[in-house]
Amino acid sequence: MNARLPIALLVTFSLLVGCASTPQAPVQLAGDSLKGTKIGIAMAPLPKTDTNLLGAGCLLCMAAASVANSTLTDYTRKLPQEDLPNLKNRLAKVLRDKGAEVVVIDEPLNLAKLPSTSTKGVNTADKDFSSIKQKYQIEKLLVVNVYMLGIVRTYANYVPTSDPKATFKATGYIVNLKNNTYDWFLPVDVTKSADAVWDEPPKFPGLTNAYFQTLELGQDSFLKPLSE
Amino acid sequence: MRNFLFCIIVIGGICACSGSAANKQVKYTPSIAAIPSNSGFNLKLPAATMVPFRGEVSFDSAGQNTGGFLYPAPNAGGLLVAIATHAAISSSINDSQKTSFQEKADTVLDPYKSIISHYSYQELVDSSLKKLGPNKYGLIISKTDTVDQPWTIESSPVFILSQDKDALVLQNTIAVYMAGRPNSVIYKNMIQVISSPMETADFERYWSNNDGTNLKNTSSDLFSDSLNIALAEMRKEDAAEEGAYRTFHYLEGKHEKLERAQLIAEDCKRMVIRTLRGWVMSVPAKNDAGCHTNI
Repeated sequence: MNARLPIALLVTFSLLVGCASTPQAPVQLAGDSLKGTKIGIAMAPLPKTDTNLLGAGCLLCMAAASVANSTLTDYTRKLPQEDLPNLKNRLAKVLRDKGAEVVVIDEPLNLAKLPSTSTKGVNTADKDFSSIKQKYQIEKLLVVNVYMLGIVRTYANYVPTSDPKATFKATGYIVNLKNNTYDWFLPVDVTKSADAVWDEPPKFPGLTNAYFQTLELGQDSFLKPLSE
Repeated sequence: MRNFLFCIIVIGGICACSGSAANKQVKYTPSIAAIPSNSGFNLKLPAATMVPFRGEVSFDSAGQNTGGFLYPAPNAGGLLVAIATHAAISSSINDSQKTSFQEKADTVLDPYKSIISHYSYQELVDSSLKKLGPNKYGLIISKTDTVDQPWTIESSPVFILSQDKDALVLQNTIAVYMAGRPNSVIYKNMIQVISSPMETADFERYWSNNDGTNLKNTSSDLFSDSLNIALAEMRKEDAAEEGAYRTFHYLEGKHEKLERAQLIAEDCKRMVIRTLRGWVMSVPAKNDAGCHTNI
């Protein structure tokens, strides 16, 4: 029997298993762990406000779903992000009130460009933030990464399986730069439906209201636990 | 290439139709005629005799999961038929899921069924009109069967109890027209009034005590407030200019809620706001501070 086939299968299986990483579980912030600490606050670049059609898997499915939701997509892309870019400054005030020395990092933090960590372990950050530590002379780093904002609708191939809903998906975490581990980790997933009816073009008032609710609730998800 | 684009448009059309519930929302029609001071209105209510109540429902978790689906499609026509069938089934499942959500939400009313089943529009209106009092425009509202007034206010109130039983919400659909001319509506809107927070440790008993005295009193308070708001809306030229849209925080029971709206009026305890649909909401303020205008 040719040995190449089992080896190829084994390598493929190992790669697939390797890709299926376990999501980071939430980590609670210890009560006074920020008092007297020099902490930086950075935000990853904000995503464009858009519609996200999840589950429209094939090319024809994606094209059909895009056509079906084109009016909503055009409208969603015009929705403002309001005070979201300023979230790091409001978080800075919260942390200063807790006794931390805060450095607000103005430029967006491009997480994809940071090197991955070589060591793996419980509550260890995926990325190596040592370059940020050296540049800003900080002990800890608070990162806010909003990765989905706007409207989400689920599909099974060509067919919608839900009404469109407003969505705000993000992660927030504080990395202890001494050992690159999480002092705090919070996944945020806020989804709000329109009240009763969503299909109200051209201004979609029900979905627009839900969008601004998620925008506010999403930001509060970071502000409230850190101010407690 | 043309066939491919045709397929996308047809499939897109099929899927756009599925899942878009019929739009039955009340469309805001601003007052188009100045109603003179001291005008009289007949209050017309639905033909049903009992006041409708519902449980508060959220559709945030409604919908099915994503997932693949194999279409039995011998050719392009077969594929379109299969997709249309799938779309119809999916839409039906979504609709029945929403009905199920509402039915489950309505169970919050179970302890009060015996009270609600005997609570008539007659009782609601009698109590509300007594509370209405004189308004600054001199407008008068009478029951249809007592006085024949030159204007008619058609009202369809629905009361909604929050799942924690700590708040009662009125959704009152209002239409105004000259008496006998129901097809020439001069003002139409949804007026929502949310009860002020109440101090009690046991809401279940709070609403049911003394044959539902608190439930009926709160209902008639909300209903008379909604009529006063509607009267103010009809004389909108007297109202202050409405501000820019922003996200308002308010209380529904002990829960903080949000609404994107314009401010119409506020006082220490309540705000009146206009939603993105043009509907009017009277809501308890989150902070009892900042008295500027009387509502």
